[in-house]
Amino acid sequence: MTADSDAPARLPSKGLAVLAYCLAFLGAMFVYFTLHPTGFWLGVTAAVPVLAMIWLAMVVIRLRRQLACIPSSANRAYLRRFLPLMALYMLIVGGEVWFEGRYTPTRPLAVVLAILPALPLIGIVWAFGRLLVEETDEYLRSLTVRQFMVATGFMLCVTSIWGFLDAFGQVPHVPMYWAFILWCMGLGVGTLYNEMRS
Amino acid sequence: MKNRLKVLRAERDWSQGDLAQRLAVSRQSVNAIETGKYDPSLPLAFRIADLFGLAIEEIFVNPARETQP
Repeated sequence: MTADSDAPARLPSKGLAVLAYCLAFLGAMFVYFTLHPTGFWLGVTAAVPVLAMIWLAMVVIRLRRQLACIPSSANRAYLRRFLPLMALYMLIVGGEVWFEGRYTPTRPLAVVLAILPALPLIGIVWAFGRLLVEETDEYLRSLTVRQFMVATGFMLCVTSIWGFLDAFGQVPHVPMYWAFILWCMGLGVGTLYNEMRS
Repeated sequence: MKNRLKVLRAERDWSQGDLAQRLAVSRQSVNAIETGKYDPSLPLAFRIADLFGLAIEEIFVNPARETQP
């Protein structure tokens, strides 16, 4: 039973999915800041990197499952939480874009509408936390922790640079929720980093 | 950390997958430990030692001793 004993030592490359995710994200940012899409096209602009991220997540989970002798139930639970929350987020954002195009909400409805899209994102943060808690394989957990640390570092670096450029009037002001998007993009960087180290 | 995991595994004709199953970890974990890219926690090291019926230091090389001349 040693035929596959030392076979694939590394994870098969998921570089294409990571590259697609990074390009989709940067492309969406470029479109958002240069073409200023509204309504339907704003939804499309936001959906492209989200779909790329979902694809990347699925590739990563599939590869891990392929190599893991005992399928990680934590990963399955994470996907079961992440995908509906992301779908809910997209539904809420799409609905609000549609709503704002027709009505001009005032307080307190405006506050409720503003907070609503953040709720599924907070749910996703909870899902990330549960992934760490429920992962019983300590090595896989260490990879996830490292991925999260890289993502956090990436987000802090980009927001620091952008914040000071903004303060000096060199770049447009960006809403704070972009920190979350940057962190998710940092997960892609973390995946690449893990792949280089493993 | 250097270790004799690969040799011990080969002696028993186990694949990485077999060992991973016996330890209830992923094959990635076994590979990372074997190649010294990941140092297992003490509980996992004890599980590995118990599985092979050896002491931990008979499987893992003490890094402090390794550096001594």
